[in-house]
Amino acid sequence: MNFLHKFLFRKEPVEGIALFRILISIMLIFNALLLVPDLPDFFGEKGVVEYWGPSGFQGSNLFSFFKPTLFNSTWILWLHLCSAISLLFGFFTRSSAWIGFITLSSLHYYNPLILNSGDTVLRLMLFHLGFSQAGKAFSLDRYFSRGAGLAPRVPRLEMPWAQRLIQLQISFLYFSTCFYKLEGRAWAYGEATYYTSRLWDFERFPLPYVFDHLWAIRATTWGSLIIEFALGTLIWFKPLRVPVILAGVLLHLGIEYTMNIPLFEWIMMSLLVVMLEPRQGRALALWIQARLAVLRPEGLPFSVKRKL
Amino acid sequence: MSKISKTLRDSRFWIGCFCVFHCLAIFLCEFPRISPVREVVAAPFRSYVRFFNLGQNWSMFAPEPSSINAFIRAEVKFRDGSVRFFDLPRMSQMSLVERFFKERYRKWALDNVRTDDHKAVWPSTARYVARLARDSGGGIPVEVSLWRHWTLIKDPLKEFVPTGYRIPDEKLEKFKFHTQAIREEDL
Repeated sequence: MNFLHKFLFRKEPVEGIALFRILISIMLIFNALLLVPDLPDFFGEKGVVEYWGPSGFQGSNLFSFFKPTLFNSTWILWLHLCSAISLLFGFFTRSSAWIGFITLSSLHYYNPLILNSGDTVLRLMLFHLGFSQAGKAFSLDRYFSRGAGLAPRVPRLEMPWAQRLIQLQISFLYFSTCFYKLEGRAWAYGEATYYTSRLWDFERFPLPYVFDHLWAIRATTWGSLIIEFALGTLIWFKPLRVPVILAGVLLHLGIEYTMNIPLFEWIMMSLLVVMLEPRQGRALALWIQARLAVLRPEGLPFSVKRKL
Repeated sequence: MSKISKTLRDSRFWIGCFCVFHCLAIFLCEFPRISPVREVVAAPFRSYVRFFNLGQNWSMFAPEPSSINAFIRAEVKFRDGSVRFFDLPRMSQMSLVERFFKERYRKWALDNVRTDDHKAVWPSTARYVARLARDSGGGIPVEVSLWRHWTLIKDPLKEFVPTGYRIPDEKLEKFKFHTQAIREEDL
């Protein structure tokens, strides 16, 4: 009980979750922009599917209240895009996350036939960010609080329970996918990447040698499984955390290079940032901030720089 | 008594309860292995998961990765008796940039429309193709048929093919899986 209390409520730095908020917002913005050109096809009355969602009332479905028309889908998508931008800048952070969650969820209800796991991840992360302290650093919320004298010079430590829920969700994701895969013959026998590398529609850049030799195919198949298992379990052991995260980044970079699954791998790599302990997250965020400092516009008033 | 009331007034107590409830809901409702006991235990949590659209399925390339290369071709008959063929978007025939933007069409066509599990979406697919055919200047479509074209990737221990191999369209298996008359109001 004491462990659980500490795990959820011992106050921790917020810079890591703020960095995660920024990364996820960037993914949300790209994701929304990718949908814009095909909006009539995916979310219109004359699109690829007519409204596919359930007809009853759902808490996170605006189509429970509005007719599933292209007009309504359009403003929902634009509202979603605005909320993602607002989340990026940390402006009314929690409200932005909730609006982002409800709008994205509504679009998912409209047409689930075009969704991949990256979409599910984004939706779930918005839900969790709605509870988090992600707006307490690197945000306009903080800037205005500082201006009003309500926030200290260095962001306060906060209870990380929402970040813990995100971490548990991500672990669950990796553990589940590993579990699913272990039920399949191709994964158990080390042949899965043979099949995935021969799917014409997923091809991206060639990887000479690796997918043309059975031993290397087995190594990549089992290697993927081991890394996914580690991301679901071993990541909770402090000494292994960083190595496991680095292995995860390598795995996702490898898939990104060889397979055409737009945004998915970048979304997954963004998730790995929040798997760091909050103190490690702060160190990473401050390191990035220091690297970006050279890009900061010199014309910005001193007070603005200081308050962010 | 006062200790209990103090606990109940502490927001951390309620947050803790929510965290435990949420984790239990996700684990019980969404964990891969399904058993009758779990179904019973998970029942009270399902409404929460459904209400907030927290459903999730992480069976990516699992339990077996796809072992099929396929595409869908639509055969459109026009009022004047002519016939034309339209392929639903094929990633393998697009540039790298196009593929990036059009991946969702692959998801729709190949992971969903292609399978018998999604019969319900075939009529709207046929209507969509009919509108595309009309807009491409072919005339007024009166009938759309959907064809699957496919080839299986065989077990590597039996037949190991190199990466980048291709099979011409005419050598793929094919099967007509849906035919639909198109009415004017469909267009």
